[in-house]
Amino acid sequence: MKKLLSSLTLTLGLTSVLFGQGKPQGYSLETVTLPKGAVTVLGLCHKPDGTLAIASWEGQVWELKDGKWSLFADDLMEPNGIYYSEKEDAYYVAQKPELTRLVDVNKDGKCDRYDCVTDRFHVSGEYHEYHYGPVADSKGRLYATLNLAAAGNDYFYLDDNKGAGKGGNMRYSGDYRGWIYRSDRDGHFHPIASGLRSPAGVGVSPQDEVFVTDNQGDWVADSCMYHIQEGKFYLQPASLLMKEEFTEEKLKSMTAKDFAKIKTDPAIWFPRELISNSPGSPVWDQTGGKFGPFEGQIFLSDQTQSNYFRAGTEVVRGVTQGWCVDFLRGTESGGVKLSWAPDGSLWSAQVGRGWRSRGGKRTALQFAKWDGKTMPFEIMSASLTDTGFKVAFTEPLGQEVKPKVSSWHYNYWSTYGSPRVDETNLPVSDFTVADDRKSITFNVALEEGKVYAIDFSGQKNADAEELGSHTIFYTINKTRIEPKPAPAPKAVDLLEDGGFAMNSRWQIVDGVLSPSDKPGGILFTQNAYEDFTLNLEYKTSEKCNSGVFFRTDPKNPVQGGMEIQIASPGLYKGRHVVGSIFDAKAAIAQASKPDGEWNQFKLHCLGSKIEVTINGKIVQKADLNDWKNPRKNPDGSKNKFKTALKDMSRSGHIGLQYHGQAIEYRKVSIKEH
Amino acid sequence: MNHMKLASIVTIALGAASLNAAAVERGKELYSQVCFHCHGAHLEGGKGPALTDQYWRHGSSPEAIMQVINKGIPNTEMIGYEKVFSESDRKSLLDFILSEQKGVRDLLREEYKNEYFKGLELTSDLFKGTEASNAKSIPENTFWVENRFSGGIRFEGKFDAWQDADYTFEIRSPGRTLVFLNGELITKVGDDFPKEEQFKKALKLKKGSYDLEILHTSKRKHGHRIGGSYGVKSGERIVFHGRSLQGNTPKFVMAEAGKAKVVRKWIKGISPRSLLCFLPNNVIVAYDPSDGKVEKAWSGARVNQTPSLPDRSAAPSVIEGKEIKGAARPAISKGEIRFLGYQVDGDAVKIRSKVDGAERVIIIKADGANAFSIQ
Repeated sequence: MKKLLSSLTLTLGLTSVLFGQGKPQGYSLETVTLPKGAVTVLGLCHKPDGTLAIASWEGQVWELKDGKWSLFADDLMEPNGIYYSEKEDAYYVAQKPELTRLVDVNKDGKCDRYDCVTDRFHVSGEYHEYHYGPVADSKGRLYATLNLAAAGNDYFYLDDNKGAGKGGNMRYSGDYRGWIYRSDRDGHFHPIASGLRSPAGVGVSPQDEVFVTDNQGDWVADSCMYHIQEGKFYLQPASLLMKEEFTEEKLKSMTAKDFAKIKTDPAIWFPRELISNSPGSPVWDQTGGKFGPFEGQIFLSDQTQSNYFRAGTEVVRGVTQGWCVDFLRGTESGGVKLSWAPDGSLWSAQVGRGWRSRGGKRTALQFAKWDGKTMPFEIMSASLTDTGFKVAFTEPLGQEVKPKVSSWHYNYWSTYGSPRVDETNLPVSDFTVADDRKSITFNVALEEGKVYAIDFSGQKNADAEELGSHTIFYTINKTRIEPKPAPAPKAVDLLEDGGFAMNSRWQIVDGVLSPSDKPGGILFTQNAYEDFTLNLEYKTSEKCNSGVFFRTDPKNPVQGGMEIQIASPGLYKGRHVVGSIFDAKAAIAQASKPDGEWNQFKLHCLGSKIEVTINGKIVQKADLNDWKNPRKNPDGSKNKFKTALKDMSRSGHIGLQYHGQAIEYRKVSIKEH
Repeated sequence: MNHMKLASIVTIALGAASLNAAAVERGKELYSQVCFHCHGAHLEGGKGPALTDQYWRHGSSPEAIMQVINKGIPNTEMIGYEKVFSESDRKSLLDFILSEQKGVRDLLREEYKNEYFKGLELTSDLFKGTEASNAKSIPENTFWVENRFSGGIRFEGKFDAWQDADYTFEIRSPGRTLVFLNGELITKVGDDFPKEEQFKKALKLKKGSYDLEILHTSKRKHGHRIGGSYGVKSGERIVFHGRSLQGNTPKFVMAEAGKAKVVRKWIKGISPRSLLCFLPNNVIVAYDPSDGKVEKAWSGARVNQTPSLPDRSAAPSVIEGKEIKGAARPAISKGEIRFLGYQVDGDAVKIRSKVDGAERVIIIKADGANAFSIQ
């Protein structure tokens, strides 16, 4: 029995570390019985008179008034969200094929006119082409988002990491998939921003700012929320195809680095498992205190975690960013949409169909309510200071506990999700409690592009009550003080320690690298290089053949890399002449000096672009993307490469070749880009 | 090596609650005279719900079915037959309907807390020694265990053997699962039982109804849920859902008498934008409002409502009916067409569009028994 008890305690302990306390003090969660029949709740909204409307996956709209359900509309196609316009006394739903207004003309409680507001986007029937929304701003303009397709052989997708993301990439099936749009009036379709993957949540702040949540997946390292700005591109690049300046070919040739240069990062990352795996729509607390002390904050729910969580934003050096913290756990199914009732309760549409939710039920309708008096002991918010963070609490602290702070960043790649990269615990200094004991400040090393976890486990209030959700997460897009620009990459002397992996077959004498008296093989650098400029000088001997290998696997130099030919002038012809990409492309000019004289050599590699300069003259210019087939050059001639050059690794070692004749290298330096 | 004992076929000697053959015959006769109009010749449903699928809107116990036959359902075309047929005829109808059932109905599902079962032998009596934390009647054939379920589950119901044949309960189970038929243990499976203790018996059953009890325990750590199928050995089988369908629903959308309606569903080969206009003569017209084309039309038609209820909506819906030859119409204009909306007006669907800048109303109406008109 004792053993049983202790194992039970252990389980509970672990659960609370991960998932907080369940429900904050003073809050309750209640379940509402759904109408009979197949009703999977996707969307919900309230009328000012307290009537609740839900939209169901099966295509119905139901109204709940005075405890009674009545069917308002039927036979729609997966309406994924619903909005009530008081001005028009009509509902708007985002059905799969269109944005539709539902009007009860004769006021008998049933919809009898279906107006197509806009349908100016592609829909193929592919199941993942969800259409979420709408929500409205203060002017009544409607916003909705369009999911990418999940499958379809003909549809466009981007798979940057060869292998890793294959088959798992979301697809652009046609017009404006992966976009958010606005509709100001009937028939009007105004695309706003691209780069969305599975944008299941859309919300408008009291200041008419638009936010969209996205679900972790390919190109989207973790679940997150974007601050939507017109014309911006966010993370998933397939939707860029809608823009005139991008063609399929151009997008296919772009790397993650290229997309990184044009992307806009999320305002807030929602760490997987800790906060959210599949976030729903954001709503702002404007209840005037009816829902507790969190007025003005953002509330969201999560489909997988089956929780409610809170978030807040601030603008730092012109960029929106902010925090998130868990709030309430244990909803019956997975939260997708939230809506405030006039009494200040927060209602939640929940679905577990298709994707598993921790709650377990296929669907549920629940609402959270505050008792109006019990102050929950929670982290209120966090904000960035010049040198660290200020964290506020809902109640005065008891004996203060220094937080544990860690940070990480994510990979931006086509792979599904990213691990937390470089997750590091950080030392905290100058920890100070405010006079009212309701906030603390501390200093910690701040870095842009990182998520910070600030953990107050063990913190109690003045009444010795435990803190509810004890870890707040903050996304730093910008620090308050502009970081000093990173020093420009410097050229590194490869003949110093750490450059080449020296062996007995090569020697460096007085700054000159040459084969030793037992010569042989290619001498490779210790490190691999991707985009770089390599400078060196070489001197050939009579009838000399050598070469500079680059982006090469030392274990497989013949097929696993490329070589710029170096040789005695006039010794070879065609694709083997000095300055050629060996066997692939002949040099376009000759500029090398006779044997016994030093030549200046520069190799510049950036993405698919290769350029070679000898003695100040460009002798080679190539775009590897032109090599589309194995064993074939663009002009149709054959080459030795079993892999098309466009598909060869863009990263690898630099190697200098000994091919039987004396060769000398000096002043070998590399600068990475 | 598989140590599981697969016993030779066992005949359950206990009599099935067999139905009176004469009564079933009489019931069949009455059904084919009256009931088939709405419920279909083979009980597959039509205007009224199917009587052989797993969705029973008003209860699946013999008492509940009898109640519906006697009293009818208010506000539907299902009237009470109490005053129409004699009591013995109504009983015959019930027997006939029951004789057409397959699988398990009259199902009760009980949930029990986890800790109670720890280390104890799984028996019927074990469940009797504690209180269910949750008990409810559930639709037919919907055995389910929730994600990461931890605790005990007991299902109780009537198993309807639909023909004289050998039946098996093929269950993959985490934790422990026992299946009893008429009180006899016929299947014992689950990761928590030693392999050599597990078995599945094939059973020779006579057509009829048997008492079924399924006991199951699993723990949170079990990654997968109970699953499998049961039914005639190498014949017709019913899938063990392993998940909740909750709720129940008519499986088909039909036109209503005298009234048209518009349904938005994705049908393979039809534009997902198309309005499926259901006319009162059971004609469905697929009209694509983005170009003003009639894509197809069907007579005697209906569409299944939620073909993919447990899924992510991956599967398209299906229209059943006879395709009307020559129904397709070309686009109403080569210029710009903007879809404005639709309304149902009695037996007609009125579709508003802006065609080349001018508003135009297309009216789709029933025409005779098997056709439609468009203007």
